[in-house]
Amino acid sequence: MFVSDLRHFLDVPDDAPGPTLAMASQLCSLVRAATAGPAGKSWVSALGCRRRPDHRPCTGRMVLFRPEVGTPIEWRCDACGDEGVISGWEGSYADLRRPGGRPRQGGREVPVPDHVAAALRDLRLLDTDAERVVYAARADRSGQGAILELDDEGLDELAGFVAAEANHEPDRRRQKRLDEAFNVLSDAGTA
Amino acid sequence: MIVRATARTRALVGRPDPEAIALAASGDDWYANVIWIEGRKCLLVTHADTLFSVFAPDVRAWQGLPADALGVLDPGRTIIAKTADRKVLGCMNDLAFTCERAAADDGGLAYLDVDRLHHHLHRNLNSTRGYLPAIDLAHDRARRAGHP
Repeated sequence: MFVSDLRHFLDVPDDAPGPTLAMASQLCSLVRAATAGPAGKSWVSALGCRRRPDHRPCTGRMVLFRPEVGTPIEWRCDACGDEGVISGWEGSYADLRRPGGRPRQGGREVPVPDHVAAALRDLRLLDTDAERVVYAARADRSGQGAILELDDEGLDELAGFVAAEANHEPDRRRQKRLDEAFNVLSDAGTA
Repeated sequence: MIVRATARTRALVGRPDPEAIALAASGDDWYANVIWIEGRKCLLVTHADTLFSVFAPDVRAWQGLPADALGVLDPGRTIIAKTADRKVLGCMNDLAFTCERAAADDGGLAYLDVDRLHHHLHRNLNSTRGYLPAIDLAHDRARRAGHP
């Protein structure tokens, strides 16, 4: 079990070794997802596992559990069994809990492919509400995609953020990924 | 005139026309978005081809009266459609930030200098329109249409 304190990973310098940066990024993503999703119950997030057992990418998804009161977040891969706990996450920039513990507003379910969910998590200009939607995405039953839960307004807003970032993106490959994400969200809005 | 409205705006102005689904995006379309500043609804409307934008702070929904209670206000039919162009939407997102910041800089929405904001919006440079200000693009269109 990997026991970690997020505070040790929040100010990792850019020139740190690659595995350290990857671990810091994964722990922040886990905390974002756990705090954006429901508390008090385990759920399967759309976040993938970063391990490579037998030199092959693990296809598992992260199962998250955040207790109601401030105790460590528990995470576990549903395929390879990698697991850990994260403490020291409260009040960090990765903590996406709603102020006052207000519940998330209901909406409809929008299925998106895995690579689109990853592109959405990679957005740099999201506001906190949109970030919550992106990180609260759960794995779909087939294990091939993610389910976003949001209303029409949230969908429009998220599409707007994707569009703005695509407009500014100089890297053609990333712009293509963002375009694809925008098309998926637009189609979902039209449906 | 086709107004391509975001979901928030459609919640105010009504559902899109069914026939509008078949209409291809055009440079003459207008895009409308509702943005919230200090808990007030504000309307941002942008012309697709030029990105010429108009910002209306603190708009209120029509209360109680049907839209045609005072007769047909717009003789030319306005078609409400869904948004279509990613580039325009992305620019509107940026313009919305500009409006929010302008309101904050002026000390709140109630003190916002709308004329100065429009002056800024119309001269905003954008890569998607070749770094040409919206006002220049609008003048170009006017000249092409034969206006002096």
